Amino acid sequence: MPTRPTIVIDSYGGVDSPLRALRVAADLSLTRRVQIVLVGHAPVLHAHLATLSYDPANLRLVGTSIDYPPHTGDHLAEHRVLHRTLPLCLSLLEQGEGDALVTAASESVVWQVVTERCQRIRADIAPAMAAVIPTLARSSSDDPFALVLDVSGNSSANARQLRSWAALGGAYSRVVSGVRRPEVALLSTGRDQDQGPQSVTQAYRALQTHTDIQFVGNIQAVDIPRGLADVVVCDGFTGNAVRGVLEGVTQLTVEAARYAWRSKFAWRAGLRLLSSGVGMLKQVSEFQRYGGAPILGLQQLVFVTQPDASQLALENGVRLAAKCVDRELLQALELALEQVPKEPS
Amino acid sequence: MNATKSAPVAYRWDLDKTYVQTDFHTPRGLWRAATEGAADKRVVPGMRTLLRLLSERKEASIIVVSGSPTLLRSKIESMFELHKVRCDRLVLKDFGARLVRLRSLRAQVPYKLAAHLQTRLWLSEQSGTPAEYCFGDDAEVDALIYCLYTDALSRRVDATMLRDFLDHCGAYPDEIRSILEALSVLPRQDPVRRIFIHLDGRSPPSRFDAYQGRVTPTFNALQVALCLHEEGVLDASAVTSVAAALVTDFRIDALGLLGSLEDAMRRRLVQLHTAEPLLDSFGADSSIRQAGWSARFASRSLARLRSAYVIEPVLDPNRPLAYHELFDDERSFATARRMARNAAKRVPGLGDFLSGESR
Repeated sequence: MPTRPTIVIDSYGGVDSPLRALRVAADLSLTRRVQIVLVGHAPVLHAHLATLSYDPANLRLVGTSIDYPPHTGDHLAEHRVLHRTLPLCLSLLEQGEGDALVTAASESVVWQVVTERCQRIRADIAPAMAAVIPTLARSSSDDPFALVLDVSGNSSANARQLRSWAALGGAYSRVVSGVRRPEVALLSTGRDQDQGPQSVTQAYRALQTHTDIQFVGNIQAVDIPRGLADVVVCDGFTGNAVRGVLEGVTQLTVEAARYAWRSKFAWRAGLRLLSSGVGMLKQVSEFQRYGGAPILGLQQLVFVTQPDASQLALENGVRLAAKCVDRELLQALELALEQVPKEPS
Repeated sequence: MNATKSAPVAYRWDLDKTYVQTDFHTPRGLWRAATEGAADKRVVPGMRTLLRLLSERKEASIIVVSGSPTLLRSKIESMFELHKVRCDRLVLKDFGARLVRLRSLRAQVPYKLAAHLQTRLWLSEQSGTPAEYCFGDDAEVDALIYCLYTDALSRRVDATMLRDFLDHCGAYPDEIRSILEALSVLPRQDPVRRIFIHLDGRSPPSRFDAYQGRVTPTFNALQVALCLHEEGVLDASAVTSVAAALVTDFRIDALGLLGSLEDAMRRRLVQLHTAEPLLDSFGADSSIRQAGWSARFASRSLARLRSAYVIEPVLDPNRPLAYHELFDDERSFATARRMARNAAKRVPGLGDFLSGESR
């Protein structure tokens, strides 16, 4: 009998903890495709679970004695709790009680805890956080999203790191998005080989010899939504800024549509007529809520959704995690990194 | 409270959605239920094994009271024969006699209460005052009817209150009269040990808190078997057979079995000292082993069960039930569920998104 992926959900993260995570866990338990392990404060979880539809055959609650932080916007209190609970979730993965972790906790805390605690696939290769960005249609793939990594906010990356992240991103795109030979680009200030910082020009030369991926050279930030590459590689600080700008622009567009919807009946009627187009906008604008951002390069699979992510986003994060487990992403990442030469000691 | 092996026990079953998977919410489902053969009927996973095991007990009487039409009698009897289940009494609804009484066609409470009382009379003639275990589902008002049946027998609900309530449910005067007559013949007694409600419609267990703990909501046949094992009705091998049936018929895996077991413990259907030996018993079954129940899995399961959180009971089973309110709540719940089912057929609205409510 084939085994189902077991996904650990951390109920401490996110603005509506633990109710959103609990609802997602209960809903997904009814599908039978995945085994859910929900980690949270025992009395609260158990009391709320009884009010939801769920299937105990597919849902396990792992109770802790740690109470939820108050929803007062006190980030310090929240971070203190997360620094205690995330290691508990990770320990379940280490003990083989789960295959992947999905959390809506603050990205910076998750990054800190995960990179401290989890072992890397290869000790000399740093992990990277990836995010999806919607693009125009690409010739290489039906997937409407491109993968950008690293978006962790870390300020620097050398050529070796960029090269290894290209390998990780390529493997992810191949396994998860189903792109046979992913087009990988480096993010730079121009398309020429010599443009950009030294790390980028060095990585450019190294990636030209890579056979698993199709290196398409440098692209600019404006080219990401145009769909010029399946995977875009940059340092964490740049990636974080690029993602923030794109999310801001999308939010602005959606708010404009909402303003039109609220303001005048005639505009609302117009939007009704354009409903299929607006529907596409809705689909694309919710990209950051679809699934989660995977952290690649570690021996554990960890996915981070936004703290204010909708229930659908968190659900999709779990589905994405299950897909990665099913398609043996970790093994694919290990294999991809074999192409990256070891750092001379 | 425990039923001993030699004492007569009656197992009172509903059919649709408790034993047979029927979709009577759609015309297609209704048509299928009416036309499919005995061999084609889909059974709720594990229930076939459970009912067969219960019916194999010499002291047991199996009573089935269903809202299905009498036209289906031969098919249902053939189905039980095929499943090797002994059914001592099968009561079906005579739709022909009710065609001119529209309220009676749909009303479940007067019909089922009358049938339960009539079959109790029959039981009394057969074997005195046997204990009873009742099995229903969350699709209609099974929980309410079984509780009312229990309260009527024990006279916690007297004739005046019962008349008043049946009137509230839309029962015809002759139906009320017939129920009260049957009740007057039966002596005051309290035979019902447990009322199991199979959560076929995915109701949350808390929906039945209003019944003050008199109802035991269960997610699958294994949880029913565990509870009966706890009460001394079924032995460990019978529970293992039900678990094995879930593995082979429903493709539930070892984690699924353990999850059901843990949930049963959490909700106090079974205690740790009863559950612990079952881990070895499951491991001895080849089909359960194939589903991933290894020795290592069993030892990890034991640790998991020992640390399981057990919910403290807050309900008071001795508190009288407010049947009028319960009935109205059940009706509201059914309406809400119907609306939700219809809404789910539509694509989530763009309006909500544009109003910013989808966040």
